[in-house]
Amino acid sequence: MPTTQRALSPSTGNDTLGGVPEILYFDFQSRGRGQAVRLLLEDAQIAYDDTRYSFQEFPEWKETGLVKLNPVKTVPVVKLNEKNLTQSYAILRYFAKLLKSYDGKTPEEQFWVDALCDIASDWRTLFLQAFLNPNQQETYPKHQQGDRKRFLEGLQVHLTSNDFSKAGPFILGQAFTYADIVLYQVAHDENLTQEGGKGLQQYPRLKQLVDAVEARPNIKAFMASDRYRG
Amino acid sequence: MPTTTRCGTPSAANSTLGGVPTIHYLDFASRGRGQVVRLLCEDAGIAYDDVRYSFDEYPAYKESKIAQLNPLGNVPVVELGGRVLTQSYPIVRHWARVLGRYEGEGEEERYWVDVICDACADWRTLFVQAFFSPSKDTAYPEHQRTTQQHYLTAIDKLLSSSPISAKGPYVAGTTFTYADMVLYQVLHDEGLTQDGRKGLGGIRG
Repeated sequence: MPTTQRALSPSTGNDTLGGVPEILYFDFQSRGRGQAVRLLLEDAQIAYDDTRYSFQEFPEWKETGLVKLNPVKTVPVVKLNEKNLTQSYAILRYFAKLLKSYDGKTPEEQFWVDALCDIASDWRTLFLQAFLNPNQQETYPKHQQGDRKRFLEGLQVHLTSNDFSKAGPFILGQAFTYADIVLYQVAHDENLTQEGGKGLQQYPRLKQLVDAVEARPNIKAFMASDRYRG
Repeated sequence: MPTTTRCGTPSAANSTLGGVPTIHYLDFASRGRGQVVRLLCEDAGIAYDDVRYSFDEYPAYKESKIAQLNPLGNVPVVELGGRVLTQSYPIVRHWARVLGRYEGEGEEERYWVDVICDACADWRTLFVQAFFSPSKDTAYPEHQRTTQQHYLTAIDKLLSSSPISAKGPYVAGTTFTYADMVLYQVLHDEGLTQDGRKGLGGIRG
């Protein structure tokens, strides 16, 4: 059976969204695409119901329950105001619009945030392909030396040369957006943020971003709570 | 050497965007993620410079010219008004906002358009993986039987059951958006739009 836990207490953010969203996702620690949605809600202090499916029960629920909520049969699914929201990046962009926060202000800023989110998405796709591969012993180290390195180097260049990003610490400098969450999350799931950001030593601008995300008061509180599971 | 062709004549839409975009992409018929960017330009009457790299020459350019424009080394890369734009879906979303069309009206519609676009992006990723696999002879038919079939059924269901999509032929009903182009393009590249829509038999067009 999936477990459900209420996180945080309803706030004005919940009024803006129109309720308490229920997030249906894997019970995989604090990892995955769905975690980015949880993290945005934590940062915004928006109460949510965290429903988690174990890897064992997921395959059956996928064909019986999930298919009725989302014909594409992917998670996260967010139930809010009698709607079933799907596609994690679209959900983040939608919440950003409703909250009038977590995105750029001008078309140029919004494009840049979108582009960085998409880059992180491309990275995550390749990461998962290598990590969840039956031949993981070979494919994952190959990914770490190859694609992952290319993304880390490319992001380091982008964030130090782009006019919006170079002052830091976030993608848009002082303004925190959904793309910082997405980028943080893939670095976290690749175990690059832990142990004082050991894995990011060669990428100081990325380390600066990661440190700034973790320093945000509500995210810091989340990570110190029992809702953060590694 | 890559080829460059000026397509179209500069229009008011070019003025809105701030110039004639130069689109750097693969010379792969009218296919791929970059084709969606070309398609938006064609539909909007935006003149663009179509720079095409053959599959043979691309690896060398990826490490040199493209890497200078885009540290990630992937295409499409668009040069416009002294800026470099990368990542095909953000590019079309950005131009939709700047042009004031191709996005849908209101947050609910825009979110829905974004959902279909993102689902197609997921589909395309799996399609490309199978199509360009070293064991394509087994991987691609397997993809057609499973993943392709799954997305066709699922997206048809999404569009059929959405009150927004129900109002018309497009994802956002009567409004044509970037998601229609993205969806069209993946169907096209999967060979499903050709031969009188043979591949789409039984599925709402």
